[in-house]
Amino acid sequence: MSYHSIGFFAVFLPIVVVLYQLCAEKHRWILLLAANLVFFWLWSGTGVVYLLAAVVITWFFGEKLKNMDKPPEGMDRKTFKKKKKLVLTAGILCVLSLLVVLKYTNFIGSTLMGSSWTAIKIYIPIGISYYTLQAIAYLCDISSKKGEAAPSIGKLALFMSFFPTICEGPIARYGEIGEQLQEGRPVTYENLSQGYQRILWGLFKKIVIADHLAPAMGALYTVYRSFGSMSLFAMLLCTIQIYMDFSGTIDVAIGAGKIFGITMPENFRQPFFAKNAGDFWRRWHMTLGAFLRTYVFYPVSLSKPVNRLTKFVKKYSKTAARYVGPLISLFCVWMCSGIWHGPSWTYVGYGLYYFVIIFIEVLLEPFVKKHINENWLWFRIFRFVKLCIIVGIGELYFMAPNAETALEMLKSIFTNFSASTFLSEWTSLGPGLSDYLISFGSFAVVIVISILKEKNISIRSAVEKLPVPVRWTFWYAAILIVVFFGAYGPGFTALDMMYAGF
Amino acid sequence: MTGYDEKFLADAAILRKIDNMEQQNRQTKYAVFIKPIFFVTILIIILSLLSVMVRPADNDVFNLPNYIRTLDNVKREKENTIDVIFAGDSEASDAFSPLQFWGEQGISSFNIANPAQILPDSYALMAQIVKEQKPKVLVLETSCMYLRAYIHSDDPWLARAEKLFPILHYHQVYRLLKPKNVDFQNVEKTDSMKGFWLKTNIRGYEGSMEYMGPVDMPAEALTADCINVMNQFYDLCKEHDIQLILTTIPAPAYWTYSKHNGVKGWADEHSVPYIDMNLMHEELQMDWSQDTSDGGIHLSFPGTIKVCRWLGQYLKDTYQLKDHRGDPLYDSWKSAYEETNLYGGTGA
Repeated sequence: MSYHSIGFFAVFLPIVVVLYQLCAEKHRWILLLAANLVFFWLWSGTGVVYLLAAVVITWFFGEKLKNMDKPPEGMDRKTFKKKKKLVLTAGILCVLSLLVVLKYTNFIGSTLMGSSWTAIKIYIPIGISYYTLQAIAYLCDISSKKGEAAPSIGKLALFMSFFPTICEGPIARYGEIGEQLQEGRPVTYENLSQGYQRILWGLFKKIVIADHLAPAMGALYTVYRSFGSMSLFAMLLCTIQIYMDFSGTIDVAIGAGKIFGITMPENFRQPFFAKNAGDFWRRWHMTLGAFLRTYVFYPVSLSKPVNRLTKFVKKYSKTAARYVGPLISLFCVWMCSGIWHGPSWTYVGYGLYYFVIIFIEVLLEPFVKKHINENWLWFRIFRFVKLCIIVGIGELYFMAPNAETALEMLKSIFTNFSASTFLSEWTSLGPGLSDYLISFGSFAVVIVISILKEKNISIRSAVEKLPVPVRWTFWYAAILIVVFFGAYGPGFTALDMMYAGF
Repeated sequence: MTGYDEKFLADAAILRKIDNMEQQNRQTKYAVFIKPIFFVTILIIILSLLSVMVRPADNDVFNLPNYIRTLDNVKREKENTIDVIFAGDSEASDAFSPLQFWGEQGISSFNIANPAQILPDSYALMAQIVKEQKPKVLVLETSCMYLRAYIHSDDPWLARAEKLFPILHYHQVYRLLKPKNVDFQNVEKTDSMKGFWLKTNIRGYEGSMEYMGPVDMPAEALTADCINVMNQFYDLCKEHDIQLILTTIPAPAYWTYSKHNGVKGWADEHSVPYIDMNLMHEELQMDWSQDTSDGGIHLSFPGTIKVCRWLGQYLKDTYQLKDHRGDPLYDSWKSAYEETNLYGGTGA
């Protein structure tokens, strides 16, 4: 049951909302937990066992860390710190081991043993990449006393399995939603309507824009991969598709949470308004970025080996020493990001691509600040085009079945570019003219709304101020746009949410 | 006062307040749903009205745009002028060229097949066509017998919703609003290909010629939905005195004896002729380096010429179909033949 299926937003979610509201306040968290497990069962069947195993492990180590508040009598601070670090490391490794065994065994096997490795069929439960990160963040926060521990294992399970976030995030930290989940706040009309409005927006992005473009990808990555103009078109389509698919699904998740009065962290903030690639990643998959920044970048930057290395380099060059920390930390962040996306060298390459780009940006930053007026219109246009190219290349590579195909497509842009190929073939990729018109027209709406949002103008708030008949007419029209122009039903293959696969 | 002390009264007031709050809370607990229920009720009414507007009058179909377009094309032909109807999915739409049958045998035929067209849609089209036409033969290409044979979505919840609100099933009606379809000047013009989908690309088949496998391969079972629609086809043909023929076009990358035996089982049971052209390579003189457009699933244009030549002659000889060339009633085939100039000659 995916978030954009009618079974979710028109059947499962309303049933849970009604039961939740009828339930006594103090028992509402139990109802939500039950809903989480039912949802997970409906999607992943016995995969729920792995989720429960992750909860038990996290709870066990979380309790251990919580009780290690101060050194016991007779133990010095250093030994105690070491012991606490050991418990935290053991906890993280235990939680990670589930993910590594289930998701990366074949990748590790084939990397170490090459073609002699026989692939093992392993069931990968849905959402494991997401709840594993939540568990790691939970343990780290308790250890560093930045966050509280859950009062009971049931409440921890509630946090780790919250059904709107289990498949694609946002990767929320316990401190962000843990308490909200347990409070059992009643459903209010405002939350209900705002939640469903956000869900509708997500459906618009996912099934009206992304799913109309999806059928073109197969032909673009196979038949037309050696035609430059088609590769450029692929770059545009896959960037729009990933953006709309992922951010649309996140909108549905955040909307579903909102109905229960739970404010979840945002995952996208108008990413194409970013100044550079680094800024882009602070606006795109923000919760993964925040996780990697907090639990990889800073710990690596502040680690003893990196400090020692910085000091060593400083002896020879003060300027070079300034970049040692960021270089190593960024490398670790992007390796983790690449590997997290999936057990494939393509994803590792994707991570390294951004590592190189962002490190170059870090190196050039002082020069840009000193010599270029960032408010100059032509510079801003250049910056936007540059960002689109960087992201487009990244997404083309990200979606490719392998690195060779991606590189062949990129090469074709420079060696075999013919506009006539595009003009004669673009309607024979799968989507018809009407599909492209719907997708691009709707994407233009998203761009306009993003511009307004960037200027802190909210269309939804403006609609809320309208008289009821006008307001309701607006929302009926919005619903009917999704009903009429959605890519579902006859002639369309039901498409999974792209990021659920990670 | 009343003998009650101040503290008690204060406590009672608090209790009453709590009671009121609880009552109020209980009210708001349900009150939160009043507006949404009202909103959803209006939405249900809107969806129901739209459903009534878009639902086809006679039959439910899977692909409404294809259904309406095809039916519209058939309806532009004069009444009782079509002798043979070809039905099926892309294997059939790419294979049977009514213009070739016209040019070579003078048979007036129409191809109602469409890519991925499922059996219920072919049946729905046929059920409408027999109201205005009296075809003598219906040639049903069998590949579609192994496609889905139900019209609703695979997602069970969406399928339920589609039954409740057909607008969710037929929401793609906007596809009919292409400029081509609102070209009122050409509204009387007939389909110049008579339903044939011309494919110009060629990609040869390089696999084994033993692709059918052993003759006694276990039959691939037809689904209950498929059998149900096939039985409906059989009854419709019987009622309108139409000869039903099952045909499989040569498709080395797709067809097997397993499928053949499955189709043959139904055909034998109903005494319907079944022609599997996969068993007729020599007779048809197929050249698999040229005769397929996609490596052995669909026919290329040279392949269709061979298949249609044999089939046209077979239909003419077996069912004594008239040669309508020269009859002004059938001018639409003549003019289409000349206009497209696919096969040369005048078509007269």
